[in-house]
Amino acid sequence: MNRSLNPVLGREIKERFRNRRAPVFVTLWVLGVGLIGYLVYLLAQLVARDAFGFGQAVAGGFMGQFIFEAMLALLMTAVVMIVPGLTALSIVGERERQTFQLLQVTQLTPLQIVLGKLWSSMSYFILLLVSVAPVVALPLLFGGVRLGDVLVGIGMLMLTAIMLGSIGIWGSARARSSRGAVANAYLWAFILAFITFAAMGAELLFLSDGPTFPARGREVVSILPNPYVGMVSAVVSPLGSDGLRGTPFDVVEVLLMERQGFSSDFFGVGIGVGGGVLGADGEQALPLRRPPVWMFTVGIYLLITMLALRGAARRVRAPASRIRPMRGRNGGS
Amino acid sequence: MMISLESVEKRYGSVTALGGLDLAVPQGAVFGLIGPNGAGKTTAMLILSSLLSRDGGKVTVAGADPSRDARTVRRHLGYMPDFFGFYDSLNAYEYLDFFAAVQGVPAAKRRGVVTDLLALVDLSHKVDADVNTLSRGMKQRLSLARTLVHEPDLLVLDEPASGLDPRARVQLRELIAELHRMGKTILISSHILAELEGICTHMGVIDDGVVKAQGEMAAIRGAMTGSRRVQVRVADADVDRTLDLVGAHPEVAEAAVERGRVEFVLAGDDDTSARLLADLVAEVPVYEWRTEAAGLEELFLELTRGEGAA
Repeated sequence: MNRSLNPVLGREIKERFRNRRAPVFVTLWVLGVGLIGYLVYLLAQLVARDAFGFGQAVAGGFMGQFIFEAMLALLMTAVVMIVPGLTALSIVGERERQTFQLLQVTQLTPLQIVLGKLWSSMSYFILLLVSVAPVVALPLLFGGVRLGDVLVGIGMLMLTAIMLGSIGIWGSARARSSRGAVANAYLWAFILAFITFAAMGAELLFLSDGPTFPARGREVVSILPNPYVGMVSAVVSPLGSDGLRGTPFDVVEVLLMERQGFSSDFFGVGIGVGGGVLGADGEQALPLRRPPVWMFTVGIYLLITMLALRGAARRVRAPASRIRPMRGRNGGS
Repeated sequence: MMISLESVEKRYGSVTALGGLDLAVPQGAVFGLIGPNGAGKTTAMLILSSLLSRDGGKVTVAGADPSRDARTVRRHLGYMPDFFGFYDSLNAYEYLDFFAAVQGVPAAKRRGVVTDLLALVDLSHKVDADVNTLSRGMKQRLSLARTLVHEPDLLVLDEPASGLDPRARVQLRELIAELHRMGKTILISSHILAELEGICTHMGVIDDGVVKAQGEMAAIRGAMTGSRRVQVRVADADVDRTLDLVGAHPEVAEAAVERGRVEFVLAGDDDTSARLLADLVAEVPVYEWRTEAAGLEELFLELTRGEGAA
């Protein structure tokens, strides 16, 4: 077997990029991200002008952070919205065009088939990322963002994409129709990305003794698998940050700070994004020794990915191994 | 034996697809598996191709059990299902190249293998053609080429001639004959006997999930000695009465009226034929009584009698 390139991956790439829709979608994607990037730039200018006035050197760094965080949030949303669609039809599509059995009866292992599907989707996603790299790299020109932050942010995007892609392939291997596969893929993506926020609200409601975040109580587990929370946690260390800065990540960062034992008064008096500062109680309290959220997120995503790929491979395997003992004259198979 | 199935059972819920199927395909044979729709042909082929589990029995293909050593079976086997499976944007060359790759053919050899196979199935002139633009016959030949990319010893072809025009059928038969000359063992299924009669060295008749008869073609033809197809011409007014009379005879099968004549298959020897004729003449004036030796079609009809087959 040629180990240099998974044949399924090679064919998928060939098919995907020959499709007329691919260049159209990439063009629209670049234009869309570019436009949003420009709007984010204008918004960052407005916020910086309010916060620092004109001509202040710190405004450049702030704008860099603002744009960087907004673009990461945008790309994470794109991952949630696009990746399930890229993988949902991967296996069920083979069934529908009657090529599935043809693959099953070859020397390919089920895992090779599944991984070929996953990597082809990821290669397309990487193309989408690379195509908007200039827009995403814009914050580096303003300063205030380290290359390490960029790499960590891209890493979390890729991990989330691989995890959602694996779920999509698992659902595709189980589904009997394209519609069911797509519904399954997006259901899981929306649960992880958005329903977990609602679950977090419910958890806070039931766990909290009062109107404050239960920082010193139980862990709020629903935020752990959330891709936005995981990314913010990985990019911005709450213990090392200067507190809320009025940038897009503040929405999530405030949760992380509370979780580590700081108080932002966010849940108490509702100061809100941009106005939060470490409260007096929080400054005096020792930070909790809780591992950062991103560690849980990464662990959970790796586990989900492994289970989803394993489940998909089991579904892709031809069911010839399920044999019951023979009843009758031959006594067994 | 290249393929051996012993007492193989398969059920789909409460429906029994295979009820103790026995099948033996010798190495180098072109084995025709004939049976009506729903007889269990495809189920048997899926099981021996390692694509379907069985509920009982023993299966050996190229010395390996498909359920325990599927990779070995797949290395020796080229499977062609009864449907086309094509990728939208690949041409004929790329299609075969892809399947050669997934079958483990080294990249350095693939170009030669694919070129040779396209020549074998007479599709060299369609090397750059999108597979979706090929005719049904061409697609079928391309599918056959796909089964050959890894040089298997055994080909399992499920209804390969289904839906082909007469010219495409002739081409397919020639191709199968050529593959037989190349030493391949071929298991080929059909519900149309005429498709298999001229190309098979062996044949099995399957119905209701069991093999009713199998063996070399010559032996099967020999088993039919004594059976004959009979045509009776009577007056138009006597056709229905004649049909009732012969239809009631215990040795008669598949009695029907064809172009004003009563036709049926009669089992038994010349005495049986003479007695039936005498009985009939006693009831209605018989203008003509024509008999001819029974063929495989009669065997098929007799073995699958009462199942609404064919």
